[in-house]
Amino acid sequence: MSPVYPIGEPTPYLECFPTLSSLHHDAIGSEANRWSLLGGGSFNSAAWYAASLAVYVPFRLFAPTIFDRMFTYNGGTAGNSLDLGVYDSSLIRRASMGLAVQSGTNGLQIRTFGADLVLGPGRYFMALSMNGTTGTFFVNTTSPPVAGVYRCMGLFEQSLSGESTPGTLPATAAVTAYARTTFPWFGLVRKGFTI
Amino acid sequence: MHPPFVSQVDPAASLSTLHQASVNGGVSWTVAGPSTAAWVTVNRAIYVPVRLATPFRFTQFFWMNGTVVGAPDVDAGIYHANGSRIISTGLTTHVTSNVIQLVNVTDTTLLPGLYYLAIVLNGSSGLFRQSLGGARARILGVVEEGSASPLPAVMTPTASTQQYMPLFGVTALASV
Repeated sequence: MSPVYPIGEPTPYLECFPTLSSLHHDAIGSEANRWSLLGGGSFNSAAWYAASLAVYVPFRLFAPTIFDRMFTYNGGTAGNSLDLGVYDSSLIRRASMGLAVQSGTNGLQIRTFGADLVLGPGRYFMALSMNGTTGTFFVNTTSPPVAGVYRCMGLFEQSLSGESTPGTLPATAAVTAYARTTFPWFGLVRKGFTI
Repeated sequence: MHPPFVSQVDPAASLSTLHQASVNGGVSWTVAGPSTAAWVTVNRAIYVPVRLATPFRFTQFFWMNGTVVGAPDVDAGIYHANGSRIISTGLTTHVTSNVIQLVNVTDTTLLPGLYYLAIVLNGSSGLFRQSLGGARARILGVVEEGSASPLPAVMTPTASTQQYMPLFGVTALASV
């Protein structure tokens, strides 16, 4: 593992932004933008896609980075419980929050890892699941012009209905093709930064 | 030792909120925008994260004036990620609507790393900006600070409450 550089010190790597969300260049933000999928400044509050579904959004890191929080952008109705986590490129879970009640509407719900998550440069997935379809999240408004665009961007999903506690992110992901026409806005927060 | 190349996301001649080295990707600058709008709140500074993989030298700050300019002053600067100010223009009279206003500063070289571009207006004139919906700025790591004119030596960031992404940055050239 390369050293983690103190905040504010020069690094020989391209550093991660203070937050890393599904909207960021280091995830799928730029690609979605080029496909005009972000809808300018608009977005929708939408019920979760399916009970106990997990969504995996790819991201990359160029520098060693410490994260201590994850967030969701909750929509107009809160309900059910959600889980948040991070997987490596082998689909092994590196950390997750565990199921917790969705709390708060029309704003960020921020949760803190039990222990700091230290990730080296590489490719990862941020994961979000919910054990029902009452709760809502903000998602982008524009559907891709052709099916499969999000699959090409590297998104995956997984039904977690068979987990011992349905909706809980598993130790190893068994992903399937992404079948949704939008993606949720959620992400990670670097330790020491304000969100 | 830094690699002798420029990465895909490093800026070429200027570094602004439009660049992939900043929040572009998530901001979604559109054909319909940016548009002119009054400043968010008098003396409220907006800090936008930017990052570099290779050293970048700049000589000027710039911002895109909106339709209304005048007596209020503008201060633009750049901060280390730890919150300490590197350099700023100092309060500068906001002149000439609908143009890019440039302000010379001491030549400054940023090393690879994470920084915050900062800007504040102490009145109700405005800039060109992209309107962001909801908590989008917050999600992208933008932070803000009240009563921050002129820009402070050390920023005290708070969660972003604004939906205003100003079009501004720094450049190594005489013009942009």
